Amino acid sequence: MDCKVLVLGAGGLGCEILKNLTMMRVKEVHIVDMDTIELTNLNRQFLFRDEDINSPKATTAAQYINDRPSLSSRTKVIPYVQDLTNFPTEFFQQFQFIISGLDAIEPRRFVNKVLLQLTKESNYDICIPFIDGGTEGLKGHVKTIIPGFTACWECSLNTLPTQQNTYPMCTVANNPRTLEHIIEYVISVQTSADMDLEDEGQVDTLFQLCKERANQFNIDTKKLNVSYMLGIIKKIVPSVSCTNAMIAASCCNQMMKIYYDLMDFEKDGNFTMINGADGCFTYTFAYDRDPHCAVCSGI
Amino acid sequence: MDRYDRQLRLWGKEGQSLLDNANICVVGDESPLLQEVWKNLVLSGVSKFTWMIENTMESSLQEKDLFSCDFITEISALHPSGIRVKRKALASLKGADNSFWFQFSLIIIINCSDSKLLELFNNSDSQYFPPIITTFATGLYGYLHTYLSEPHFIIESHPDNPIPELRLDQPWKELSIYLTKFQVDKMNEFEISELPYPVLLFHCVQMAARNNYKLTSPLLRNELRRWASDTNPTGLNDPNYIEAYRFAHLAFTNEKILIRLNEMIQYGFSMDHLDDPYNRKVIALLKALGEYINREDFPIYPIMGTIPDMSSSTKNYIELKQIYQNEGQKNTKSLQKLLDKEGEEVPFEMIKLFCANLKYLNVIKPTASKLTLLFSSDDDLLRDLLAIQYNLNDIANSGAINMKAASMNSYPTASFMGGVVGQEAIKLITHQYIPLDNIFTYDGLKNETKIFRI
Ligand SMILES: [Zn+2]
Repeated sequence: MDCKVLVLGAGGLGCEILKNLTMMRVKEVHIVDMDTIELTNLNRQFLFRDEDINSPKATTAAQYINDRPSLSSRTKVIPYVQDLTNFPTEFFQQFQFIISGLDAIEPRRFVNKVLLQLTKESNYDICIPFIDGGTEGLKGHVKTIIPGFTACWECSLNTLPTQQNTYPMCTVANNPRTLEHIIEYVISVQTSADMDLEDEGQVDTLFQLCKERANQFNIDTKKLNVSYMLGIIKKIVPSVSCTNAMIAASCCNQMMKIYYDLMDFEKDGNFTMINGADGCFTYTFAYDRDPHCAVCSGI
Repeated sequence: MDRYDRQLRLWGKEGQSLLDNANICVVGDESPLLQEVWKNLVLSGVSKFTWMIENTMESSLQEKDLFSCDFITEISALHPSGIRVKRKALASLKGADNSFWFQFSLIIIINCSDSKLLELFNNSDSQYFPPIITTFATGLYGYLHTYLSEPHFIIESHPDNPIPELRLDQPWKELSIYLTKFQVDKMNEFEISELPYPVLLFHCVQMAARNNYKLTSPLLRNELRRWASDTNPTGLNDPNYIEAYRFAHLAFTNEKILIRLNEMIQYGFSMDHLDDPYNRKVIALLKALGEYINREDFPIYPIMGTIPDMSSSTKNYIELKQIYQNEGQKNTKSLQKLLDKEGEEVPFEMIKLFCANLKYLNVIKPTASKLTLLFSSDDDLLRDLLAIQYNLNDIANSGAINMKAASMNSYPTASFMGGVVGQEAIKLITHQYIPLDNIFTYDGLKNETKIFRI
């Protein structure tokens, strides 16, 4: 496919998207991610090996393709290890498609805004489809945003799962009943904000504090271990290769349909949800534009 | 942290250990779909495979179709200790007996083009097969079929919002003593605000009972509001009162659960000799459960033994939680005693899980006894896909497939179907989450999927 695609994120979805784009023979792919590889990535981020731990994700993923002649002959991959919100608007202009596999909210809002501005300022001359994939456990979604035509990312902001794990302070401080309450207290009251969760010693101190406080309130510590504690502190979301594969593939099929003019932006669904926990349920619908959207109203 | 941390959060150590020990039979030549399925299985932790291929000679496939030309070596690197693949000629399948099939947790048949192969799995002499997944992808379309020769039971179905079980209308002795201990009428506002909501609900249920007044959940809500407005109006905004009002229906035992469980038990009795060891354990559990339910004057099943977090003082909550937990443990032990008679060795951990998830016990019933029944489906997309896959002329093109979409690059679709197959394989192997029953079709053009049963 004679086009240039920007992939946001080289994690679970990013690896899948990059692989699919290569197999679709997309001429050039740019991939941006500022994270480094960790052991817990390796159950799904299949372009990485144990010896790649601590290397930047974007360059390692790009290298996987660029090092193999059978793959590099189809697709040229250019990595960026940096915060994508530092790119100037002109950077985004060179792409025909942008596909996101990010889980953070702000960078996606940023890209969405930039793309809508480009469409507006160019008077529809520039219209870069933005395809956004996300997963959580056995669930996932794909949003297809055609700036100026479909709902934008901002329009559907309220479909994001509400940030849970916020407990009333009086519960956490005075009436803790669960390990979550205990951990929340230790993190927000008993430790300093600049603590390093990668440091084993500091994590252990934290763990001991949690254990002490749980015992003090007679809370069952059977489930409490370091991985459980970190899961709550870092708000770790479960992730598995199968769901990532399904969502990334849906993103790439969306791109292919736009490229080959098989999509009707006005009629076709632009929002798909998948849930594989009970059977394999998918739901595709047209998400309407929000007439009062702060980003896309008036475009 | 563990390499598998992110998936252990979905299916736990037990599920992971079943994957670690799984042995999967993959049938089919090299193709993007086969490679994608295999990749997902290895990433999830499966390392033992038997690969049935048309001929065990070198692959005939061009490297242009595959993500990597030597994909077995590449995917082997995705497992911390590498994978083991036994290659076998397809022809050796003929005449394979039960003992051959028993070694596998699952059979996956990928992009098969010879319908004769499917006849091998037609279950004429009630032969045992592990679950069989057949799958095919072309253009923007694909399907998957799960074929079961035995029922598939799920103890841990992981519902999104599990509903707690309070039994305030049928309290056991310890619960009743504990809940009556609070003299709610003599408490001040602050003390009431520290009570977990079941105490408030129980208080209202008891008041109604004293007036010979049988409550339903709307009536209980009225009763609760009346009581609170009369005696403790400032408490109407307390979180425990709001929870009590919201969850009033939980005071009553849901009769539907007992009906469902009785159906399950009957189904268990109707399944006489099953070969799958997991199934035999579940059948024994179901038989013991039948006895458990019917031994008392009024039928009752083991309680889950957990309550969710609720607004309350730490002390009250922990005490209440302990009472449910104790009863759960007691019920589990009673079930274990009844189980001894069944003559089937069931690990205590499994009995515990069974009791803790009883309300959500699920089963996928076995499919028709012929794998080739697939061809009798009247679903247009499935029929068209089968016609393409097996080169059948007797099935007319129904128009379910758009020719342009059918000729497009199929790699992402293969990857999508590989994800679904991997997910279903994991669910079948771990006996967690509910597998799809039993046909799944994917239409990438419309972004639609469909599930129906043959
Ligand atoms: Zn908008």
